[in-house]
Amino acid sequence: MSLSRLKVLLQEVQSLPELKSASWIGFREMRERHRTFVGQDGHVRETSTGESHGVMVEVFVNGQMGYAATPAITSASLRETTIRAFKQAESASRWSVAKFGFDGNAPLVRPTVKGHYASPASTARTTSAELAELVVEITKRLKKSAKIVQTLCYVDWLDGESRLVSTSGTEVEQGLEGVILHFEATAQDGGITQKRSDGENLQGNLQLLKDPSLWNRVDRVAEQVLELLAAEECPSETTSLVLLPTQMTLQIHESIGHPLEVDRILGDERNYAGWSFVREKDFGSLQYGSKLLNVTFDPTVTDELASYAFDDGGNPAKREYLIQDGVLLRGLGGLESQQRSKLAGVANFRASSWNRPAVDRMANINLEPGTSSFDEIIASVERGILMDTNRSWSIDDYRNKFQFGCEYAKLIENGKLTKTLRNPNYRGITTPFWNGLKMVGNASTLQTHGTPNCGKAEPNQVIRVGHRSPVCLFTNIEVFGGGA
Amino acid sequence: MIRSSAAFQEHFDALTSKAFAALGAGQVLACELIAEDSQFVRLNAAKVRQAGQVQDATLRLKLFIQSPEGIRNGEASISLTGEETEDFPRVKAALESLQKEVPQLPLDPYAVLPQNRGNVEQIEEGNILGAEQVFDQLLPEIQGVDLAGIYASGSMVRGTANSLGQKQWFYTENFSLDYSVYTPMEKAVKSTFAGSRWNRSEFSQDLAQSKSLLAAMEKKPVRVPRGSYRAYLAPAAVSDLVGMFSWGCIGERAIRKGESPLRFLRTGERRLSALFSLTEDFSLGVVPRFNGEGDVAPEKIDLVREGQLVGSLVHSRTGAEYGVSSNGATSYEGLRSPSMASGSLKRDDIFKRLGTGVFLSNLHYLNWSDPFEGRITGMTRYACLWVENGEVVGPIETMRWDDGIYRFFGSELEAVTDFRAMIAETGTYHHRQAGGMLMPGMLLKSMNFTL
Repeated sequence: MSLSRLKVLLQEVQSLPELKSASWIGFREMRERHRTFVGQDGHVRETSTGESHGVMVEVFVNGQMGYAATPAITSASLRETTIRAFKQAESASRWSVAKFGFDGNAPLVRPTVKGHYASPASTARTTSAELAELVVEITKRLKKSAKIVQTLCYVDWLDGESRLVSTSGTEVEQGLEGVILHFEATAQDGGITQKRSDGENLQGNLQLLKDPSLWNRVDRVAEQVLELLAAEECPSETTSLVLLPTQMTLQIHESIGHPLEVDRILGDERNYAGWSFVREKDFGSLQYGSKLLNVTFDPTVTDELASYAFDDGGNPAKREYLIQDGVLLRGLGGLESQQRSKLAGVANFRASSWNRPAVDRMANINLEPGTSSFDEIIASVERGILMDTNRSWSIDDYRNKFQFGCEYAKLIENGKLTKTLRNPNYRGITTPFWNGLKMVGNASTLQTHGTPNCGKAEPNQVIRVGHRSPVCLFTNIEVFGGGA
Repeated sequence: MIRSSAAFQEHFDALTSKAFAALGAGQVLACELIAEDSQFVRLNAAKVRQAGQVQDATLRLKLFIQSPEGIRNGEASISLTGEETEDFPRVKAALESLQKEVPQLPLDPYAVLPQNRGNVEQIEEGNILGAEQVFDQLLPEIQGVDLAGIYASGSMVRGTANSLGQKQWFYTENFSLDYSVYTPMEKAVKSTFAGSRWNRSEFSQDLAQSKSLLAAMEKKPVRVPRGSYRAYLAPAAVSDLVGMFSWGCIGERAIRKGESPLRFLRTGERRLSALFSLTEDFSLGVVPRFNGEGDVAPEKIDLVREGQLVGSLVHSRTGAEYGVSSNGATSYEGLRSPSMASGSLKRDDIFKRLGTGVFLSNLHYLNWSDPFEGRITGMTRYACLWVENGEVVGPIETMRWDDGIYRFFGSELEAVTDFRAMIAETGTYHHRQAGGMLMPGMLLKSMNFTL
């Protein structure tokens, strides 16, 4: 639907007598298309397309927002849906946890803005048949040995658009294109089973699926899963830990991203995902990590999964430091959380789809590069473990005590990578862990990853987030292996 | 959008009939409908954080094309509006796109063509609060206590139909209030009040019980050092552990591929306790017996009987790959309606039998720490207590645990309660989920706490 047509539909409902005491009305139209291809063991397992399309209507009454969502984008349906949203706002306004003020005819938490955003244009084109053949080929190539008992490859090519219009004059149009690629091999020998995987979660470009280096990565997964079958178990000890960006993604996500969400700090999330050890008084003073820790909220990075120009409340998005020189500066709070907490925040008020209300989410949360090369980091370690690619993750409801596991590890002895280790795990507590950050890799070690499946909120939502990180070295970390 | 079960069923029938009429030679079409008309009221500090309503319907079409070489197939899903003039053009466009694309796709050697195994219909109309009533009924009741949670209610539809004539229909109207209440020191008690008929006095009783448990949480917290302790897991905590069977564990494909820790149970290399029996039990009536492809499961599937692996969840595709019978499992081969057998431990004897150890009301954030060996890590959460000589000392500070299913349901399982609780499914990812788990409590000889 065009922005102008959506505006016409909004103008039609604006004049309804049932809505005369509505302070503000906004429409958020979202359409998202997926093309998903799954290959398994040399065969195609699934080819599917999906499209979800609808409108979220928000109405403010007495400082309270009520919402209603519909997949029927017609005059009649939007009239009925807007009245439903109005009644929710009106009824709920007697029991509001917070009332939101206005600046003229717009709520302070829904600024009047105009603008647009589009993902970087794809330079590659492909057909469904080609993508189906690609996932099959990857699973065939992964099967390098009879010990590899299962191979799997998944490609999700997504293409979405959203439009915001409001009675105060907001007009925003944004488009997103992205690719999720994942491939894995499972190997077995006797009673031992191991899995190794690789993939990408990027905005913009299908080019990565046509890059010849993809096949080197496929080969490496197959070789390393076989290597793991014969590897020693990760030892149990307290030691130095080098995390590659594939695992830093998870570490940043769980122990920096989630605890800094201001709606968690305000208690909205405590019945589901949990609370946070971070308190409002900690901003500006808490030494979250060592002085080498610099973390940004950055929705401007070209290829990261959660880059955009405006959040779903219309707040213009820009890069901000969350943690600088190890000190906590700013939380992940959208305009509603900023008003409630009186804390500085970011443009992170996001919804997973047209059928969910926006809440505080991560977007791109990045750990800024330092000055050390990969070789310098490894050479500095007398004894330690290097871990690659997340396999297991668990953290408490205050985001303190975590335990994470990886697919693949290497022992570091006297500054050199030596034996391969299987079933590597480590555990720790968030701020002591980050204060043990001893070296941060330079830009040559940076990689961009992310996840399409960050879960949160009631009603539940999964959303895409990006994380870019260099290689990092931590000291005094408890590591251990697997077993029953 | 969902004016009534009958009206929406008529709409689904009209759309699918037209789609079936547009099929060509060698084409078979299977359709799945997921729809809801829901209200969500999110609560924090016993006030409303967000309130709204969602109407949603998604139709999935799966087209199979047979040729002398074999079977090709592809899927498409679209949003429906509930209006035939809007919806049929969408269905037609999606079908035409599939008819064009599927012949270009590789053959699928494990594709299983839909069949007509007869019709199933399950309709439960409820008596739930109207969209504005909820504020007057619920909010006054919860004042005076720090409460956070989500009230979700409304109608849910699951339907399937295929071009061979099979039709399935599941319609339910229900509500759930998934909530927790807090002390000023942030200790909490969790509860879920759910059903198909709202009863304000029953909710008052549920909340009063939660408040009464909260009083025990006012005691001074106990910091328990790492170590191995006797433990009692209440039914909600047991449901979290049993839920891990859905993560690459009880599915036939995971067992065959060597990924499931239950492969050792099948080969007889390891054992579970004779006190542990697990059944996929659709007689609970909380989820449809049919999966998204219209395959109908038996009313009960015995999975573990007295510690022996006697079954698994088998999707039709897995069945085709390994030459075994499907039992109507979803493609994910996860549990939908599990029940664990009760035992003999009486409610009044729990603390006495626990003696000195940890009472766990709920667990949190479970994940495999070694997926192939069946070791799980997670956290304690909500009303978890340190008990000495059968007496509650106080709530524990949150602890991490890391232990294996062969210990939880095997060597360390000392007793199972003689009562069970229905743990309602309250998940709302993508859409409101149907379901629930019927679980007893478990007394463990030891459980490993690691941080």
